[in-house]
Amino acid sequence: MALIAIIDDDPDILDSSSIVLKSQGHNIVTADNPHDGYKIVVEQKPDLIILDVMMDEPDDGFYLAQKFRKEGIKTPILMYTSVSKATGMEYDKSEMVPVEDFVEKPISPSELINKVNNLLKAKEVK
Amino acid sequence: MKALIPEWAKNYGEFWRAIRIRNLWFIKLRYFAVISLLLFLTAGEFLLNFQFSKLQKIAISIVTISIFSYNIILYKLRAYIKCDISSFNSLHLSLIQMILDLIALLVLVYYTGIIESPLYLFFIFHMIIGSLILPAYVVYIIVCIICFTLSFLTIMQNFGVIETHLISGLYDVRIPHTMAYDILSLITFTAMIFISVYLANNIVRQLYKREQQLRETLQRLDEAEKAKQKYTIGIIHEVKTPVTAIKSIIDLILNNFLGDINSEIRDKLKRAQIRTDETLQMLNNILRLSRLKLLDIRSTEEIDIWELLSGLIDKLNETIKAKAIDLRIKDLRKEKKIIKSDIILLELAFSNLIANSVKYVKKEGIIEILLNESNDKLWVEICDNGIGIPKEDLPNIFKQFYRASNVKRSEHEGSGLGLALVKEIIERLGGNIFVESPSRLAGDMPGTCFKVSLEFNFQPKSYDIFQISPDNYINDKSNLEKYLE
Repeated sequence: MALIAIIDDDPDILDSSSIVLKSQGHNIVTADNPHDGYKIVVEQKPDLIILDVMMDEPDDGFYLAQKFRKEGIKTPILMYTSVSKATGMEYDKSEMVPVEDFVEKPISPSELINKVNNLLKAKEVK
Repeated sequence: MKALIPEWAKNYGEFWRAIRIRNLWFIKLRYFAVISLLLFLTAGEFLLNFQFSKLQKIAISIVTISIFSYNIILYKLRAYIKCDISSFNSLHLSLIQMILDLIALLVLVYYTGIIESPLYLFFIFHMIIGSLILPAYVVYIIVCIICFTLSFLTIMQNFGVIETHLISGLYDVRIPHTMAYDILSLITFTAMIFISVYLANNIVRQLYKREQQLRETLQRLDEAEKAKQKYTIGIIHEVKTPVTAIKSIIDLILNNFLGDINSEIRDKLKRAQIRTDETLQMLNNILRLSRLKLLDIRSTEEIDIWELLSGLIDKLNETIKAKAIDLRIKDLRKEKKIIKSDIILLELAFSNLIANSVKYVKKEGIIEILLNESNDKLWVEICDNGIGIPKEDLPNIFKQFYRASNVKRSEHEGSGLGLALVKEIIERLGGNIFVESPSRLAGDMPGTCFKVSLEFNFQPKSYDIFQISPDNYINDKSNLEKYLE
């Protein structure tokens, strides 16, 4: 199946997301900081990147996403956000946020599987 | 010309507003002066038995007509004058008004006997008014000129250099007084005018300072409140992170990703899942409230309220069907005027209200949503025949963390933040919310009715502390580029 890179600073989220996606037969590589995340994406060229917003980190997920796009890495990105839409801090696809889709934490396994499958399908069609 | 503005009043909006208002006030007062002068001429002659000379009558009439005409001109001029420091402004207009008034008063005093006319006391009144708006040194210069001119005229009159225009009938017998009397009167007058101006100036200065202090304090308070809310948001985010992790682990186990589990463990884990969901909901509500307190609403858009409500009902459809709730939505509007508001906040408020009704009605309960409009307001009414709210709890239900006594006893979990949030939102959007219990649908249970009124054309405030342009965002990250290279 596909190779998916998950970049998130929360080890439990990394772990549970990996288990869910592995159960679907995907191969997973993980990184718990943007620096390693950048490395695994460049080196292993995954089919899909799951990227946490990581607002606590000074070099957050948005920045990493922007960097990928700047360097011509067009791998679809699924972004994990922990801010609720209703609080007014919602993000949308834009030049600022060059990602394909969002999953709001807490992540439900079925939603994750759905979104990942959709993105992988869309990539194949391309 | 810039020097006219007191040093404590530069760029101070309130000061300019006060000057404008005072200018208008003086203009209105001046009409009163015109009427008084006319009365002085007519009533003075007939009631008080003044005998004005022909010259006096002409002089007073000319002064009266002049005051009346320049007052009209000033009034017209006032509309075109701006509060701009660098050009001709309201303050200059005030100065011109004052000079014109002083000249008129001087002529009047001259033709009524100078030091022997009681009218010269009006100089003091004029200078007190001047102190309210002009910087101290300008007022003192004018006061000096007045004192000098009055002294000069008095002495000239005493020496007979200039003619004396006494009002005949004011004195039975004019007692010729000495030069000493004139000097004493002048000294008294000078002392009075200086002291009055000094006091008035000081009081006004202090008043403005106080006002500015108050303003600064208010601003600091506002900043402190915002800092508090940001701090809360920070903490809640910190707490939310581990809770979301816990939830994802529970979900993982419950969805059998780690293999089968026995039913007892499943039941307990399900409880854990429910409690975690509650915690998350509570945290989200606190986040929303804090965000709302920080956020100034940015923009409004045209909203189809019918569509918005139907959409919200659709989202709750599963629960509505499961509880077999009879949900009716009626549109009683005639004109169906478009409402302009913030769609996200409005959705949040109404979803809370509808979800509440759905939560607190029993099986096969009734929920009725009515849409209506009055002249300037849209009305949304959400009524149910659920558990209702006890009378003693009604005044408190919109308070944060307050949960009605009957809800605490019931099986429903909640944080008591929902209605506080709804009220906050509705009021922010320029509306009002009212609650009634029992509602008109009351049956076995009293039921609750929420009535929300919203302005059709809500105008948000123009600034937002959270506005960061995308350019800034990228620029701020410049040092990180190095780290990643």
